[in-house]
Amino acid sequence: MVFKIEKLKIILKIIILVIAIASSNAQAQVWLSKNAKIRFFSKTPLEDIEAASNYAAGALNTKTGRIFFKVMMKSFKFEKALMEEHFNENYIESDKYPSAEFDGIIQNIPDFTKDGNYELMIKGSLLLHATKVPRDIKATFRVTNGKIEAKSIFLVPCQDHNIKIPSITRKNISDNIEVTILANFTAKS
Amino acid sequence: MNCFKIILLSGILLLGMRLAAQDDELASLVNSQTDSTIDDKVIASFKTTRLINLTTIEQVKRGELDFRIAHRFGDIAGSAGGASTFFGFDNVSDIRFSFDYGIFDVWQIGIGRSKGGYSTSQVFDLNSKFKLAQQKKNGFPLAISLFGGLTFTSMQSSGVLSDINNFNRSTAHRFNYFGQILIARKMNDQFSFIIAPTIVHRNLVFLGDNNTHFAIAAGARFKISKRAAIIADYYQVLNVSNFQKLIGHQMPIGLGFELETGGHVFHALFSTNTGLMESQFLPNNTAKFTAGQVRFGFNISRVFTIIKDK
Repeated sequence: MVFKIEKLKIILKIIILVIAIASSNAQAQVWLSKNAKIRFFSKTPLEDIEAASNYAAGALNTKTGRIFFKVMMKSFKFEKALMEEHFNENYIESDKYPSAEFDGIIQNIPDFTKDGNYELMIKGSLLLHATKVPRDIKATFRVTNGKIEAKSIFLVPCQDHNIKIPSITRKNISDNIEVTILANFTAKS
Repeated sequence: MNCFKIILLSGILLLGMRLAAQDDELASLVNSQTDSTIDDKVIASFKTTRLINLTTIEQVKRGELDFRIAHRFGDIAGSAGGASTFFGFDNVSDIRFSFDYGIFDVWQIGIGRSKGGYSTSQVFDLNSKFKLAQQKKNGFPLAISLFGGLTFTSMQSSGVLSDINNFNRSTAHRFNYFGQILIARKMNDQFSFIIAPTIVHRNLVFLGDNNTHFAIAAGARFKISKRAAIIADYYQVLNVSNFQKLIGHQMPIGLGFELETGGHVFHALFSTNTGLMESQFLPNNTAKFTAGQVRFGFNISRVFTIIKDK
């Protein structure tokens, strides 16, 4: 009888544990970044081209480590209206391919409940100009007072995404575009 | 022990389902946060602010300056053309320099100077274009703009009463006005068209001519590659005057090839009309397409950024 009661206790504990894990909304797992900033930069001796969007959206699951970003191509603003038109019309073809997406998994998931700076490796894929390319990127995550800030800088080769640069503008546009993502995540309520 | 296993398994299953659900949720969550209305705006219906004779709905954007040179040679064939004038190249009949500046993305102002082939076609012009409606993918199907302006000739008054360039009676006779409603639609990646009800008013006209002319203009662009297109436009005058019938008035026609090279837009074109302003080519054109009175010309547009957008 004593054995049976012990067994029941264990079962009870497991039930409680399972319910606790399965309904652990108290600790947020899903974090959202509504107005993430994405900037890109092309540097050549002839011309620097810079564009930025403040309308990217991102989400992060701190338990599974999955991270997802999406940005509308037409939300990128350039210094010169003509560049913006060329970007949308000639290079990115935003009417055909309106958005870009990054979908990845954090390889070394840290304890997001603890404040600190974390250098994380994200394995994922970048979907741009209808071409999906596997990418491993490094990102810095900073956790302070229940906020998560993420920053990552990486290079995107135009060639990888089938973005054709004609010979006439080859000297004005870099083969590798430097992309910077800045995202402030808040817990999804 | 069976009981234990079932609970454990169901627990893991429950947990797994929850995590999976959350991960699908992640993408849809981001999608719900993405403002897809950004994508709704239809852009680049035309490459530049003008086709051959007709203005397009494209604006010079805020803080940018569009410097344009329009150039027309003489008749390729016909009485004034042929080999003796090297198919019109010897007769540079029309040149217009213009500056258009974008005050806002929806409002531009412009100033120009035209040199023409005959006495009254040396004019200054002031013009303005305002965007009323933006074409949307899921919404309003048309782009609508208002365009209008005036021309002013600074040439010396002839003083001869019957002359078209006698401005002794009134300075107002130096002025002409034009206005257009530009209605355009980008049908797809390749094809855009524009229709423009037009009014031209001239203060001084020949006897038997109309001061005010109404016309319908139509134009189109067909892209043959990312950077090259075929462009065309046509004006139909609705109230042809007796004077125009007498001089054998012809409707202005233009057909051209558009090439974009990063910063410049070039038009290599053929048109029938002399004059580069609406108040000139619309009422005065007598060049007959079928008589070989077609001229070669080009337009060059270069956009400079004056105020950088941050």
